[in-house]
Amino acid sequence: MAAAAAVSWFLARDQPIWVAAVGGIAAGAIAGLIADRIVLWPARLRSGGPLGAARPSIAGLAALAAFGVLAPEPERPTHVLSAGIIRIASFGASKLTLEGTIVSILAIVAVVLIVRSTRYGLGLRALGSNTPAARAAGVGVEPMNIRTALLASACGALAAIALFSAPDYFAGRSTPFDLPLAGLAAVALGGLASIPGAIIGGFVIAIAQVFAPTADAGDAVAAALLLLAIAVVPRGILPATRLREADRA
Amino acid sequence: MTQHEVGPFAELLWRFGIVGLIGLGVWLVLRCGRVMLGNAAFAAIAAASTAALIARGTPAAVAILAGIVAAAVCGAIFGFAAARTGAAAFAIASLSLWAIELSVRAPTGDALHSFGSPAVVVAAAIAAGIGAWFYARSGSGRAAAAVGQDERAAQGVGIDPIRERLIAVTLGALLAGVAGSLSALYPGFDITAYRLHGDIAGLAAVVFGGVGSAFGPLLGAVLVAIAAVAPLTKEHAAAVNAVALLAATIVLPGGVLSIFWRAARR
Amino acid sequence: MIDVREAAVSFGGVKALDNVSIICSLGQIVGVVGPSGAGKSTLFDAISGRHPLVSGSISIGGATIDGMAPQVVARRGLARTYQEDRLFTSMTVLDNVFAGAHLVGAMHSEALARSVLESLGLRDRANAHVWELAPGERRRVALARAIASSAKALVLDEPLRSLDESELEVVRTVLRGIANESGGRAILISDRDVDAIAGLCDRVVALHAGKAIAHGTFDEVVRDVDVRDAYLGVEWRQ
Repeated sequence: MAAAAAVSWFLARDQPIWVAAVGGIAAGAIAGLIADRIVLWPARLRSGGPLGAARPSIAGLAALAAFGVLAPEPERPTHVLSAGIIRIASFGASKLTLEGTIVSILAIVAVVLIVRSTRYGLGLRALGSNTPAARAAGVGVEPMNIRTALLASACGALAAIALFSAPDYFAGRSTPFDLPLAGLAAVALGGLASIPGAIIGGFVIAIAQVFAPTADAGDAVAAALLLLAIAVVPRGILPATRLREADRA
Repeated sequence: MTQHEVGPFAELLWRFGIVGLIGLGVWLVLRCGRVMLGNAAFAAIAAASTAALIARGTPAAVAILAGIVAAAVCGAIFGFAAARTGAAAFAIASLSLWAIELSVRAPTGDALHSFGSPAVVVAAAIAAGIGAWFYARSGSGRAAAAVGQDERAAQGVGIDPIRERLIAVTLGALLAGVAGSLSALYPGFDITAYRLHGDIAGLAAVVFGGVGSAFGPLLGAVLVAIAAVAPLTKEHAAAVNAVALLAATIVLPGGVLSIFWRAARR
Repeated sequence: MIDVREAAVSFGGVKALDNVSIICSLGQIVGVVGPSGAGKSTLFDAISGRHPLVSGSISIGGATIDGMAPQVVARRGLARTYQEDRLFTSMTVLDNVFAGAHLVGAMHSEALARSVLESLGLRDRANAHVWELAPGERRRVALARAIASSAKALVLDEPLRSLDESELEVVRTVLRGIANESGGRAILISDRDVDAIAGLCDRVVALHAGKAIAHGTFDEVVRDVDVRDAYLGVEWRQ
């Protein structure tokens, strides 16, 4: 929402598309960080108590619902976003959509490289594997959470911008929760703690949704795949190596 | 649900009853250490089934029972799929129920509203609360609580965590089914009321009231119902529930009842 | 009663248990000693069904329990305690012990729970909540829960830790008593501190790096050369 609103704002002021996109990603990242600090961090601080480990999940859902109700849907500047249709044979796609897709693929590659090849990525994987051990080894939990909130929100913002640029994406959408649902389904189906798994899951969900007759049917397909994944392949199609080896052992 | 042909007091009672029933279902699952984020979907299934049957001339009692059974069966199927998963996977799986909430359709019309009475739904909610209280003190109820406290220790005393979670999810869906079936008789019944906001209202009832007792969700349901009909908040009830739920989760996770427990211990 | 034969457990290529055999009959208390990382808890986890065996077998009362889920093993007549207390924190002491007794049958379980608490000196704490208990009391409640289940096989992981002298004496007396009661029970008990279980065990098994390096009475094991090498390092010979 923040990313889409920022993109609309920039485009309404006749800024170039790339400026709008960068502004949108930055806005989305900052909004995600603010949400993490205000909502999830206090819930994480006291994760015991009567609600136990469910506390951050409930806080997150409440925040999502509040935002979904209170945040106005941004106006989509169709005159800019529809400009430039590229046709290949009988297929046509907006130039912006194609550019958005290419940028998204590049972003996925960048995230993979960040997680696999940087100190930040190493610390992130350490925290995910064993938080007390990572902490004892000097990995700062909250600084890592802040950086991860920024990165994850930036990825979400990029996804929103890519979808925002697709014609008629928001038509027929009844709630803002279909994106989180599709994202979770992609991770659950593709594989836990696995970037290749998440990418594969994302493609499977996207293909299923594209061929669904209506937007709501597409969401139903994503939900059914999520439930099926959790019931039949609880670790996903391609879980992280350590999970596969744990199963073999 | 829109305020349609009912006074504010009757509206308060309807909402208390329906939110209380959904909240009790969420509470039962929370006791087992899992968060059910889509319990209102079972209410939606029951509501749609009941409304469809009544619109075709089925006697109301049969239609209501069929709706409840449909919800319980769907709950059992979901429970069978999700009960053996970890906490995070269960919460994610329960989000998949949103898709049901989004896609379920139900007939509306004057023929549906001849039988609705808030007294029935309030009685159902109170009876469910009393039943849940007795269940919590029974062997099975204690076993479920033990699973939620420490699954490994519970297994060590012979308790099957998957079985207890399956029972809790099915019972929770059944209670949501009662709410849904009775709500189909509500004047101004609108199936879209179960799109996420039913889940938020149910969760809010549990968190506001307190998780320590079966009466916590009912107490919380009173607060949620008041927010839905009070002149200051009724136009934005969904937002009020969500924001208040967020605040309560962070500041008062034990709910209103925890204030009394702490005072009593002093 | 508890029959472990050539049990092996691996975690991702690391042998946590390697060809370990232990027999504990009804009426016996067998101690399992070893430093941290020796494999004591892994052995107990394997016996209680938490870790599958790579090879070997485990049987309780003559029935093989390989591959069974922990709750099924518990219903077959095995109760255990853990290194951590693992109490149900929202329940009272009585309810915690009651949870162990529920396998016996609802009608008798509360009376049984109360009598076990009394024997362990916790009668007055029956209605206390877990967070009000001292560490030694928590340890005894965990033990009470295992005893109240009336399981014929008890696997107790460091039950004497955090106990003061008077509590130690009470627990030793209770364990000896239930081992010798009519029909008897088989009790497998572990501790890092060999002195703690010195006067309690009929036999002792010493583990080191996942292997059983000595079997015998307490004195025999303590004098064993391999045990001394493992505990003290080869320098003790000089």
